[in-house]
Amino acid sequence: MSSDFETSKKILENIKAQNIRPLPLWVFKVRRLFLVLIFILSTAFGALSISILLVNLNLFSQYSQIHIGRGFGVFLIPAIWFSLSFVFFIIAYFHFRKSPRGYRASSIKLIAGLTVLSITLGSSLFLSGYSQTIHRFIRHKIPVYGNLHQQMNDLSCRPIEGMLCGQIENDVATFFSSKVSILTDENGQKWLVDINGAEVRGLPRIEIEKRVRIWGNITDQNVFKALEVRPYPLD
Amino acid sequence: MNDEQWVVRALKSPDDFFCLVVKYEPILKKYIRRISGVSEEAAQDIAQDVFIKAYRNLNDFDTDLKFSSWIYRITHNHTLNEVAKNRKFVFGPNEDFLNRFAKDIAQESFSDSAVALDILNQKALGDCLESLPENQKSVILLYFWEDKSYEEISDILHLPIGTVGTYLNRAKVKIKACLEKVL
Repeated sequence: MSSDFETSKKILENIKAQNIRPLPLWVFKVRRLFLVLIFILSTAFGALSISILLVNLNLFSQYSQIHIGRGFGVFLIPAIWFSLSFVFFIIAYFHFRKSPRGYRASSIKLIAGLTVLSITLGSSLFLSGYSQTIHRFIRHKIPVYGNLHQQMNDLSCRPIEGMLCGQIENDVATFFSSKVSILTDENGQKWLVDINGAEVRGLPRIEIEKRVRIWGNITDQNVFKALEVRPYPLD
Repeated sequence: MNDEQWVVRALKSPDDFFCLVVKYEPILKKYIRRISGVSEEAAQDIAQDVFIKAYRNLNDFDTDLKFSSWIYRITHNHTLNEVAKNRKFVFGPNEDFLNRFAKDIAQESFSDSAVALDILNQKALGDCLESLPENQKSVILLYFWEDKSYEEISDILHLPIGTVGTYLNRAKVKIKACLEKVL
């Protein structure tokens, strides 16, 4: 008998002697399910991060019109969300690769596919308005993030530098029909706002007690001349 | 009966696993020696571990794939783990491999047939192979020595098929450059 055959016999004897049995099928099924679950979750969280990134970029693009170069606070929040979406993207990529036949996919196609999927899902969340709701929830539930966001707001809402943010006090019809309307700012200060001649954008949906941002300038104590009125995107 | 049918039977009884062990033990032992350069005895030990590991994870085998690819993958990974330290590539005297590989390299890279003969210089070729990155070296070995297809190499190394081709071409270019320097 050849030595190879003897070695094979020895291997079989060892398997029997150590009473080795194949691990049950469910162990591998659970493992595969776990990989799929991690892939789905990381893709979902990646898409969510992208949608919240879009919320913040939208906010930033509006702030940047008058507040460019105000410091890192404005850049920090979009950077956080971008980093998070990147991290989730990497997790999704590697878990897909570890799935039973995931290694067969070409890297370029996989990266392109995941990018398209994440951006599509993220944009859908953003356009549907869910991301704004989730963003608001995170702002209220995570104090550190909420404070950071507040700093970002503070950078933007400075009447002395041309932007007044606050809540409409009188009803909307009156707000637009009257030359002077009342608005309470972030600090609880009441302002008389001269709307006459101001450009109004995206406000038909705004109701009483909704918040607005107004570009313009201070003309007197607690009197603000509006040049442009927009909804406050945080709400 | 094919390998995959033996796997189904082996799940019920280790005796049926014996046929697979008999068939693959000599092949894998050689493969272990080729990729690691360990002694015959060490290769036997590693092969034994590989079969025990394979038997334990038999339910993880996807019967739509080739059993040979699956067992090669376990062998490849286990061997590299076992001999991660002080591993040395051993270029053994395998005429078939040398002929195929040298012919391929010579046809693509050298017009002079005398140079092709020089490529048969085992040490030079062995040294050049040794200088390759691990993944390129593995692809070269599996393709030229183990006679595996791109798809099988993809299943063994868990690489996309396109990447297997890329590694193979890169390895050939590097070996050509290396041989031009050495010879």
